[in-house]
Order: sequence, then structure tokens, then C-alpha cells
Amino acid sequence: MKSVIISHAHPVFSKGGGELAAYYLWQGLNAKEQHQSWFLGRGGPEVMHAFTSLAVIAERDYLFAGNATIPDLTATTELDDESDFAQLLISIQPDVVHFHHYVHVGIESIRLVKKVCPNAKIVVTLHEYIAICMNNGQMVKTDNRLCLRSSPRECHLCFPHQSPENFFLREQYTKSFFRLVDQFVSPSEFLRDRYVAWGIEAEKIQVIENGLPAGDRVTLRPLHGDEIRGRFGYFGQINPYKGVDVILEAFARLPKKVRKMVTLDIFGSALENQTPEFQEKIHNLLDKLKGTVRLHGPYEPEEMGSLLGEVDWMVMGSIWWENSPLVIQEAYKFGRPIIAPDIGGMAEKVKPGLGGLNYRARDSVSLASVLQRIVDEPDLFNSLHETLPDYPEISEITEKHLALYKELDMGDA
Amino acid sequence: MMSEVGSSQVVSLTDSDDLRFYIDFAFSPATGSLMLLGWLYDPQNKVRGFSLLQDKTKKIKAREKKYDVSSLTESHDGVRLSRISRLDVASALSVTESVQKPFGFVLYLPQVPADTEIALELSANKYVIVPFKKYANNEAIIEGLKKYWVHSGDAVLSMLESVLDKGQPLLDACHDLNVRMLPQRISTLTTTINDEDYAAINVDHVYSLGAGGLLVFGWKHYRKAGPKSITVYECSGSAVDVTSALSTIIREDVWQNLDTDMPGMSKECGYVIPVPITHTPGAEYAIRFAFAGGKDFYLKLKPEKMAVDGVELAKQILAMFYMPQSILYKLYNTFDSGVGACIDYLSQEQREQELPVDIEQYGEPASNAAVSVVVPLYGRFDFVRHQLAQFADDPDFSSVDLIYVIDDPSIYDQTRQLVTKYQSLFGVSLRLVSYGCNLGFAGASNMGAKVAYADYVVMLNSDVIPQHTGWLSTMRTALDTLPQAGAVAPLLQFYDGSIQHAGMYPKRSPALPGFLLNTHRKMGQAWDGDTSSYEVPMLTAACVMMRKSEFDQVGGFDEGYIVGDFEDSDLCLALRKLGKKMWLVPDAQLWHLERQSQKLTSEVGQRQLITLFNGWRYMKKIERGELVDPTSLEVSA
Repeated sequence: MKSVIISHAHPVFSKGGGELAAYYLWQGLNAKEQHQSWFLGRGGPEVMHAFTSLAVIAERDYLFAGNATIPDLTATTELDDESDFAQLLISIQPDVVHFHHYVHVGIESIRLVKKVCPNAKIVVTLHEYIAICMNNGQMVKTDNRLCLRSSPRECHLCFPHQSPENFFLREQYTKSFFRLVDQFVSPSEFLRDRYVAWGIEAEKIQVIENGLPAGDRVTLRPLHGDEIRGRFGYFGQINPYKGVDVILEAFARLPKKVRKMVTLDIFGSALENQTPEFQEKIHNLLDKLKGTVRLHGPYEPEEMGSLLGEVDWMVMGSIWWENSPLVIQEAYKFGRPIIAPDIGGMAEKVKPGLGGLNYRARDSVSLASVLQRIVDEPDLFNSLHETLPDYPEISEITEKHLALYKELDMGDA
Repeated sequence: MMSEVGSSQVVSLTDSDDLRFYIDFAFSPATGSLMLLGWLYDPQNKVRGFSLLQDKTKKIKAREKKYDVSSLTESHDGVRLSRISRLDVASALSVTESVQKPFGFVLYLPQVPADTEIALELSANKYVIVPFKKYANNEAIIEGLKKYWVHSGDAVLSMLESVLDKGQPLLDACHDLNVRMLPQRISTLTTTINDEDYAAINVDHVYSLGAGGLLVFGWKHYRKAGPKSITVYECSGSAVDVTSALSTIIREDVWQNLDTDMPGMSKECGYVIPVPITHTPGAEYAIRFAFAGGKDFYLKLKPEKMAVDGVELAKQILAMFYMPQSILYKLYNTFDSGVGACIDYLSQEQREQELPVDIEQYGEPASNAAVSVVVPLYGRFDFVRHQLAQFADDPDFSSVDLIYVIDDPSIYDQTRQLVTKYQSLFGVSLRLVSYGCNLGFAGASNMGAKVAYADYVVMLNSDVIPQHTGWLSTMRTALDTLPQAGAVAPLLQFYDGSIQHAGMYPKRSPALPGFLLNTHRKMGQAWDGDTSSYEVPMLTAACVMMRKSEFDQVGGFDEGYIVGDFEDSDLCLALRKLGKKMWLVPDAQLWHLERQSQKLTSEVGQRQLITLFNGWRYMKKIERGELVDPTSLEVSA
């Protein structure tokens, strides 16, 4: 069986959860005998050749040029049979084309695949809510309130310069391509529910968790004297959606005596890309929390185990629903409980007492009291650590995908 | 010549006096009276007055018969004086004439004995006797007046009208002369008059509509009663009475500027007068406002060149109606007065042009298709992408003659680019039709129909998106099977499911007397889900299917409606004239994202006027029996 995994970015250049999950799947598929898989990661013009929209990274591992607008997801690149993208697919003749996202690629690519490889089954993994929500697919209103369901009128209120009709057209247009998809994959129940409410048939969306390469738990760091398990780590981008500011505010709320017993290590980047207001807010909080919080800058996925080994807890701050954050699975893989907001995909993966603790999303007071509780109840860590859930290992996730592909292939027979 | 007048001296004027006084023409309008036409050039104000001399001995007889030039008014013994401009004098003397003190005069003296002479009194008891010859024979008078009529005619006529009884042969002869002299006089007329007793009248614009006549726009303020008649004169002298053709319109702009200068002025001071005269280029006209009491005002009508095409001019003319919303109640009558016919004429001009049509085929030609779908594009072209995305997987569209008509030259390049990019992806064969101008909905649709291959034609708005596949087959089956079906339309819904169109019905509005409007019944309501077809009076053209032969038989959409209104109801009522019925087929459902297909214009007032002009035109066609009266239909109840 031959498959093509299409990703909106290539992990060589971009380490987002979506492209990593796609890449791990591709590696997993190629590890199986009698299965060949190609990876097509979208690259920006800075990494592409001049006169072709394709470039080889490694065996069966490609970069392809793609571009699309966020408002209507439409491709700004060529969409005809003669395009490099189409020609590559024709030469591969895949049985399955799996879009591990279409954003930045152009939603029309789905139809182009259907056109040039009419027998190939099309699978689409849904990541965030980009088809439903124009606000970067976050399902957060532009005034920052959480949003559970879209409608042309409500979306128009978020983006007054876009008419309700334009939102309606965007939805109809997107659905015209989704109708060509044989199977959707969602890494969380929560995200699946959103898309079912939006109009995709429930049976067309299967929940399969994103997989991680196999690995072992890292040992707990030794405690000195009467030290408690009060080291927290944040992993991810520093932007308003990820809520680092909420976490910092919670630490700032802790009484001085408590604050002396805890630390927060931030591994993440992109603060420099944020608005000046946001940067200032973060820097002010960091100043206030000198001695408690340390900002380390970006990290590589391979470092995850060793970095987690330095801390006791993972803490998340996302103010949006999330889908299935890869960092949650990473924490489970390396054996660290998580403190996560109580909404969306995070609440689904981290339940109170199972995998970690929850706090009221977007509420630094609530997070502060969870931190206080951890200080007050030293045994809490041990009980959570002992009962951490398993992580989805890539070979297991690959099996699930293979089963899905085969089922789709059988459907024709 | 020098002679003694009593102790005074009668002198002759010499060049060194810097004074000129001439009596050009003198006649006796009635026994004993005298009318003098002449001019006085007196830059140093040497003239104190003038006197009537009855004494053969040249003695000054009576002081009271001496008139002071500067203070002479009509109150003196029934004497009347009009000062008139004499540019010919100014030009001959190479001097400038001031508005306050024009050179010319027309003087009427009611009682002048036969042997009277006229003397000009200069300072220091100096007199100058001015000789003149008095004419009394009407023919001779008219012949004499003719020479001076261009500048003095108005004053003479108006004076005669006030002193002679109606029906006097001389008066009639002068009226005739006045008309005969018009060709010479028109160039001397102005486009504005301001008479303290009668009126201020202004001509702002005169539009020539060729064979469609003239359309005169301006404003007026009548100080007493309005004119008893308004007449337009051609150079040939032929006259057209337009008294009842004048329609008043609001001119807030004029009112705001002149309200303080002209107390009691109405906001409704604007007027429009359609003049049924065939205009030849270069010709000028005079318009006469004749008031009771014999006062006439002549103004010049100088038609403006048409710098724009007919429809554009028609729009400009409609834009001349200030504050249209406040005159809605009488707009129908205004259009009826001739304005409507003028605009109609203009918009027809463009229709007669032959346009070079360009047709581009994308994909395999669908020349044996059963259905042609015609979609005019104006403003937004991105709808094409959305329509194609929805047509792509509809088996009906594997063989449809899809025609996009670019009715907006400004979007040609982008539309072409978009179609080039997406057509092959969506795999729907289509043609792009363009002709480099904007014809409006009807013209664009007709252009599409003209090149359509198939026996059935669907007129489709670009902002209509199907909700399901197979809608074309459903409509075609309905057209073939429903009794006497001449046109069928689907259920159209807004994006939220509320009804946009489920049948169009005639409607009268108390705010718009005279007009017959259309209404989409149940618009905005939820659809009850009933898919059985039903007859309706009319259908929207947003999505409608007809037989091509019948569409052609009624001549397609009437392109006389400006920009686009009423052409759909017009078409339905024309099909009804053939005995056809209109059916709504809710089994076919499409979204209609109305308000998206056209750029919203800020000129709401003007757009509304265009709609109402179209409404007037529609009503006229119904009245003339060219269309079935929709109010007479049983289904209209």
C-alpha cells in the first residue's frame, strides 16, 4: 500500500505539534513492511527552488510550495493537472492521500487529489478549528470570549468587515471539498464534536490520538533536604493563546513564603513576534518573579525528555480549547503530571486525579490555588505520578491508521 | 441749428459736448400718445431733464411739462420709461455701458399734442431740440420697430401690453414681430431673470435628447401669481406650450442660498420641463414665462452637449431631483408629465448600439447541452469560484451550457484570471462573454441568452448557490410537466434558511401612489418544508428557467429599465401574455446571498429614483396592455 502524508509544514523547519504528528506517522508507516509512504511538507519560498514547486529532503520526503489565504483557505498556487504537486501524485499513484492539515496548502488541493488520483482515498486529520473559525481556528471570539459554535452572523460580529454572507460562502466552499473526503481523523473527542456540530457526519470522523516515538520515563530528580516537588515547566510557544501570562500571574499571586518553595521554567519561543503590549506584560511579570521564573528560550523535540527530567510538573496555560496538544502526551511519555486548564481537548486528556490537576481556564486565581495545594499536599504528586496514563506510541497509532486505510480500501472492493 | 427759446438758448450738440441723445424711432400707439425709442450718452451728467415744447415760437410753455431724466417714473402723468441696455451704442462709441445707467430707453407719453417737439435741457438754460418723425400707420410702425426690436422689443411690448387693450391690431402685430424676431433675439437672452414684481427664474441645465426633445431644469420663485403660460420658441418662431409640462421639484440647495434674499421662497422651487421639440445640434431656444398683466420674461435655452451615454445622462437627470424621498407622493405624476418619456428615450439610445461581443470557451464545449445557464457578473467576480465549487459534483452540470456574462469591464481581467485558475479543477465547462461595457442586468442576460445553445435557459444570479445537486433536472421536469408552465423558479433562501423568494406578487404602496411594485411574499419567514409546486403571479430572475424559444418570442428581458428592476416581473407578465403560467418549485432549493452581488452605492436616493422610474415605465406598459396586469390574476389574491 502506498500513502502520501501531506503536512502544512515540514518539521525540519517548523516544530509545531501538527507537523510533528504527521512526520511521526510517516516514519511509522515506512517502518511497516509492504507499506510505502511519502511525506510532503509545505515549505515557504525561502526554502524552495526557483522554478519548481518541489524539492527533495530525503527518500520519499519532499518539500512542496504551497500558499493559501486564511480567510477563505483558497490556494494561491497552481491547481491544474500539470502542476508539480499533481504530477508528483500521479507519479506516486497512492492508495491513500492523507492531509495532515490543509491550511497554508489550499483547500482546493483536496479536489486536485481527487481529480488526478481518482481511486485514492482521501483522509484528513483535523487539527484546530480553522474551517469553522476565521480567528486562526481558535474558536475564541475576537473580544477574547470562548466560542462554542459558529454562525455567519456571529462570525460577522467578530469580523465586521466581512459580511455574514462571506462567512456562509466560506463554510459552503470548505464543505464542498470536505464532501470529497473519505475519512476524517480527529485527535480528540472534543474537536470531533465541534466538527459534527458544524455539519460533518459523525461516522465520518474517527478519533485517533497523535502518536509519539517510543521512549522511556525519565527518573524523578532527587530532592534536597525538605524540598518539595515544586518545580514546574512550561513547554510551547509564548503567545496570548497559550496563556503563559495566566501562569505567570498565578505565580505572582502566591504568597512570598510559598513562592520561595516553587520555580517555573519556561521553554518556548516566539515572544519577540507578539504585540508590544503582550511583550511588555510578560516582561513586567518576569521582573516581578525574579528568582522564581526562568526563561530558557526555544527547545528541540529531542530535548523534551531531559528538560522534563529537570522539573516535577508540566503546567499549561492555553486560553483556547486546544485539540490534542502533543506536550500532554510528551509529559505522559516521560512521566510527569500536568496542570491543565479545564476546557476542550486539555480537559479530555488531563482529568482531575488522572494525569494531573485542572484549574479554571483563563483564571490565574484558580491556578494559584492549585499551586498552593501542591505545596500544602506533598503526597499529591506521588499519587498522580504513580497513576499517569499511557502515551500513544507511534507504532500503535500507525496500526490504527493502517487499519483505517485498509478499511477504506476495502470499501471499494 | 441755434434758435432762441424765450430767454433761453437752443443749441445744437457738437462733438465737444461729450453728450449724445438720439431718438431712433417714434410712433403713436394710440391717438394722442407717443412712444419713443432712443438712447442717451451723458457721462458728465449734463442733462437735467427734457421738456415737451408745443410752442411754434419755441417758448418754454409749462414748467410742469418738464421731466427730470434721473427721477422719471411711471407715476408722472402716466408716463412710462424703461431703461434698456444698448450694447450697439456702447460698441459704436467705444465706451462701456454700466448696468445702473444703461444707454437705451423706451419712453411712453400718454398725452402729446400733434405739434409737440422734444427738447433736452442742459445746464444754464440751454436747450437742445431733438427732431424726430412720428409714425402712426401700423405697418410703418412695425417696419420701423423691427430695426430696434432685438434690444428694445421686450420693453416696447411690455409697455404696449400695459397701455393698449387686448386685441388691438398694433399689439397683435408686435407680438407677431416679437416671435419673428426671436432668431435674432435669442442670443441676447440670458438664462436668469430677477424681476422685483414678478419673479426670479433660472435655467440651470438644458439637456438635448435629440428626437426625444429637450429637458429643462432650473428653479423659479414667483413673487405674485405664477405665469399664466409658459412657451418655448424655436428659431423658426414655432412655439410649444409647456405650461402644464412643468413639474416642481425640491431644491434644498437653492432654497438655502436664496431664502433670505427671497422671502417666502419655497423649497419646492426647482422645476423640470420636458419640451417635445426635435433638437438639431447647435440650435438655441427661448422660453417665455408670461404673467398676467402682460409681463413676459424670455430666457435662453442652450442645450448642453451629451458628454455621456444615454443611460448615464438619464441617471444624471434623475440625480437632478433633490430630496427625492420628499416628493415620492407625486413622482408618478412627474414622470407622467413627460419627464419619464424623456428618460425612457435616453435609455433607449444605448440599446440600439451594436456591441462587439467576445466569447471565450473554457473546457470542452457543451454544445449539445439541454440547458443553458446564464450568469451576469457585476462588481463581485469571486462568486464564480463558489458557484463552480458547488456545480462541480452535480451530474447535471456534466453537460450544461454555462455562460458567465461580464457586465463590468473593471472585473474582466480578474474574472478571466479566476476562471483560468479554477475551471479545470472544478471541471465544469463554461464560456465567458464580454463586450467591454455595462449593460445592466437585462442587457447582460439577453447577451448571454443570445449565445446560448440549449432549448432551456436558466437566468441565474451570481450570488445564488445551490443547496443540493439535481436542481436543474428538478426545474426542467417541472417546466415540462406543470400546466401551461412558462417559467419555473426554485425556493430561494437566505443563508440562515429564511425565505428570500417563494413567489413574487404585485403590491401597491400608499406612499407611492400610481406605482405598482413587486413583493416577495413570505420573505424572511421560515419555510414550512412543503415541496409541492404552486402557481404564483411572477418569479424573480435571480434563478428562473424558461424555454429559450419563448424567452426569444417575448424579446427577452426588456432593456429599457435602467440598471435593473422590474425586468423579471416584466418578463413574467410578457410570458403570461402568451398564456403561460409561472410556477414556484420548492423541490429545488438554492441559497440567495442577496445584497452581495452588487456594490452598495452611497447614492441611495438616486438608486431609489431609478427604481421608481423603472416602476413608472413598468406601469405604463401594463396600462398599454403590453403586459398582463398582475393585479387581475387570481393567484395574486
